[in-house]
Amino acid sequence: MPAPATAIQFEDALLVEQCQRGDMSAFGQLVAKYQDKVFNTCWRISGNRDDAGDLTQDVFCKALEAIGTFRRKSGFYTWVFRIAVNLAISQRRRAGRTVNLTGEEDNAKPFDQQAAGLKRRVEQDDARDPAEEIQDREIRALVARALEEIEDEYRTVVVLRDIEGFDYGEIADILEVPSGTVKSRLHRGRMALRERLGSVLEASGRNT
Amino acid sequence: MTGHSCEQFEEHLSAYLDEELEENVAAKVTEHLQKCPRCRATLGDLQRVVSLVGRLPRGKAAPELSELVIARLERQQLYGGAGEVPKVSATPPGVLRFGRLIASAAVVLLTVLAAYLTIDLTHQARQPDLRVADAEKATEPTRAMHTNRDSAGPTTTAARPEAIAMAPRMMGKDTATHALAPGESMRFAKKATPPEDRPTTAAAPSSQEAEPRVAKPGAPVPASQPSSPPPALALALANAAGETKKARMDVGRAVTEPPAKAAPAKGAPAFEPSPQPANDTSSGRPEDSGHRATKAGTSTRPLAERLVGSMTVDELEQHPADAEPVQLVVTAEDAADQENVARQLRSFFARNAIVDARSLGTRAPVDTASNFYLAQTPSARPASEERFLFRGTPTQVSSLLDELSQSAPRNSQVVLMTPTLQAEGWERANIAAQMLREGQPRKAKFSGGSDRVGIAKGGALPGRERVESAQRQAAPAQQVVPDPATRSRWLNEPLGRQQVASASPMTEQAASPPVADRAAPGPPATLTEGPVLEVSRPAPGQARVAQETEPTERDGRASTIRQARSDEGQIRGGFGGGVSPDQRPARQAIQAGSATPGDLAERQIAAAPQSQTVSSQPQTRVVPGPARAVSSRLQERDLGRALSAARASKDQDTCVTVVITVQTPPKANGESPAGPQP
Repeated sequence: MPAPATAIQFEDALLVEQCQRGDMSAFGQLVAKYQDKVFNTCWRISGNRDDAGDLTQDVFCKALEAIGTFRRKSGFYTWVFRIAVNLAISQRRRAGRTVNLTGEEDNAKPFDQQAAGLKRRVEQDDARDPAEEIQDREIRALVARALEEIEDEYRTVVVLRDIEGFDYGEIADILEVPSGTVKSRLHRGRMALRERLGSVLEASGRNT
Repeated sequence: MTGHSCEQFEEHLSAYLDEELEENVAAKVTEHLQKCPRCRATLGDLQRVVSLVGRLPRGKAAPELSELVIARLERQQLYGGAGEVPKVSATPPGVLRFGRLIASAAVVLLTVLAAYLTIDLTHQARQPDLRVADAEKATEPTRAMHTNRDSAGPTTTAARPEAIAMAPRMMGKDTATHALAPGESMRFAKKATPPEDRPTTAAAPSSQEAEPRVAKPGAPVPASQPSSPPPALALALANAAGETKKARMDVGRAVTEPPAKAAPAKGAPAFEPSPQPANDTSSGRPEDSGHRATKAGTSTRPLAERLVGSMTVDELEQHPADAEPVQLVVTAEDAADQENVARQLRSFFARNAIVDARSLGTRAPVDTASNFYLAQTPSARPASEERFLFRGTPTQVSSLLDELSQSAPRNSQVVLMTPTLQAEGWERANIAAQMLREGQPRKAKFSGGSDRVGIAKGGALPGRERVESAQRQAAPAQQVVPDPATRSRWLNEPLGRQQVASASPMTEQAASPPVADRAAPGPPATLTEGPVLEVSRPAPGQARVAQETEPTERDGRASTIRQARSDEGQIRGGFGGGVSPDQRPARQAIQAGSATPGDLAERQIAAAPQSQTVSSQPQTRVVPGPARAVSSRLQERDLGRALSAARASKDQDTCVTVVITVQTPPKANGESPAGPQP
């Protein structure tokens, strides 16, 4: 997390309190603050970028439904991410283990964003080797695929740790499991990824 | 020993990497790593894995997420009022999954069809002497499937005295009360697929907080009480996302402002109600409507947003007649384009098992003066139009709009209308015209509640000059708004014989003599219906299926009759409301009370040329079996075959009709035999 958890929790607690008193602008701030992180969590856990948008909506609607009963025993973000994780896993189980082949990178961006990115690149005269760029993109696709293939419980922990940057304690709070479980799941998840990314790791090992 | 040590230490490598180990454990791991190349390699791999995962692209929530949340919250009505403690929503959130819904609806439709066929056949067998009229009155089972290339063709049924012609009456009142009727299937489908399609299993969590009412995956969530959101909420959410201005507009419209009452601009020509009522052509560009959403790849936007250009989903879902008929008017500047759209529509109807769909006919050229879209685009080439009528669930309507918005050709226009829209659309059309005149074409879509006036696709947005030119050219027409009684009838009365029976001669065949027989003196036209699927029982306990396929009918007279009936239906029922130049005298005569729609149609038919050629080359297939087996074959094989034949036909005048006739021979003692018991 970019700031100390305590500061974040304190700030969130104030906003939650205001929200519970009827100040809806506070909830709006909470949405704006966490929507991207929630979106990414939903995306990587559900494996579907399109679903992630809906799930993000669901998460905040659920949160707002129950915010009146939120008693601040845990942080707001912990609570929201708990909802997000569970919704995303539910969604994934409903959707089956279909691998989303179109959700990565520029493929998923609207055309105008792609065009803007291209224009920016040209303007900046980015001298990066196109072949290298393509290779990077392929690697990212492989990693995303591998992440989608590992067990839900492993993927969840990996996403929360290696993508969202939560520490073990926070992950334990979100998932409501002991820290030891987080540690073992994370390790197994990474080892599973290592197994699936053998060729990529070899290549990157040679490069480094 | 080394292996054992490695296994011990390996478990700690991830935590070691993340610096989450206690100091003494971390020290031991460090010591081991210095001695063990294998664990060092594993650690290196884990580092690279972490790096690779961390470099995965991060997405951003949709910029309009706040707006979407606002829409959701408004729809779910989370709050009872501003400042109140939030209550629990009544329905689980979610966005419709159209594919699943439609698939479910199709399954339900087939199931209902099978059940009714079975019941009907059994019931029919017990009443062998029912005649056609009796069948009509007693709402006897009549099952037929009719597909007609260009309009509902007049088709006579060779009804034997002992037979009951299974007339289509697809759009008739009877249909709405039968299992085959989409009305019924739709109600069924609605139950099976509630508007909020998202499963009620959701996530969640918590024991330490009073969690949102979400359960661990797989756990059911009970329903609860609805309430309504405070306007402040939407504003707050939007403010936080920096979308204040638009949100205020939206919230103001949705929550605080009453629906704008439309009024034509002073001195501006009011557009006469036409079959294309309020096609908000100002939004002919995709970015003005739901097109943007679908093209941007956010196809999972809330249904309400995707229904821009139609009724809102709430209106559709809350409408008392969920089987409200829907008319689609396809207008194109190019015949090929129009045919493409028409083909797409037919494909949609077939794929979604919407049997209650038909073409009302093709008209070319279109009366540009009465067509709002064309009136706004005077440079448009002469256009043709084809009207389709179907009954669809909100989901189906939405899905269809989605498809059309993505693939309808340029310079084509698809207007969806219902009786409700027809009653209200004119005002909006005039609003749109006013906005165009004021040089604010794109805003017309969002003003005055004109967000449900139609869906327009492609074509250049008419410039101000062109609009003004069109206004100069267009003769002022009187604005006609249906009176409350008419509107009430439209809303509450199923689309029955009064409205479209005459537009569809086939709907009358069960209740009246064949059209051709009473149309003109002389030998009656021997119009032949298409594939006839005949179910008869040569003996109690046995049934027989006969199918005649591939008949064709080329009859100029039939076309005339169709057109006459179509005109009559439009004039009589006002469905579609459009009045072409050819129809205007008839309309005036009707309004003056000097003629009825039926009279006019009869005159037109009487003046039609006599039948020329009729050909029919039926192929009969006989399949003996009990009624249950026959009913099964009907749906699984024969109806599908007839549909395939219809789709394959390229002949404009080909009528394909499936007639199910139950024939039960009398017993030797003269009593009516009971049908075979299952």
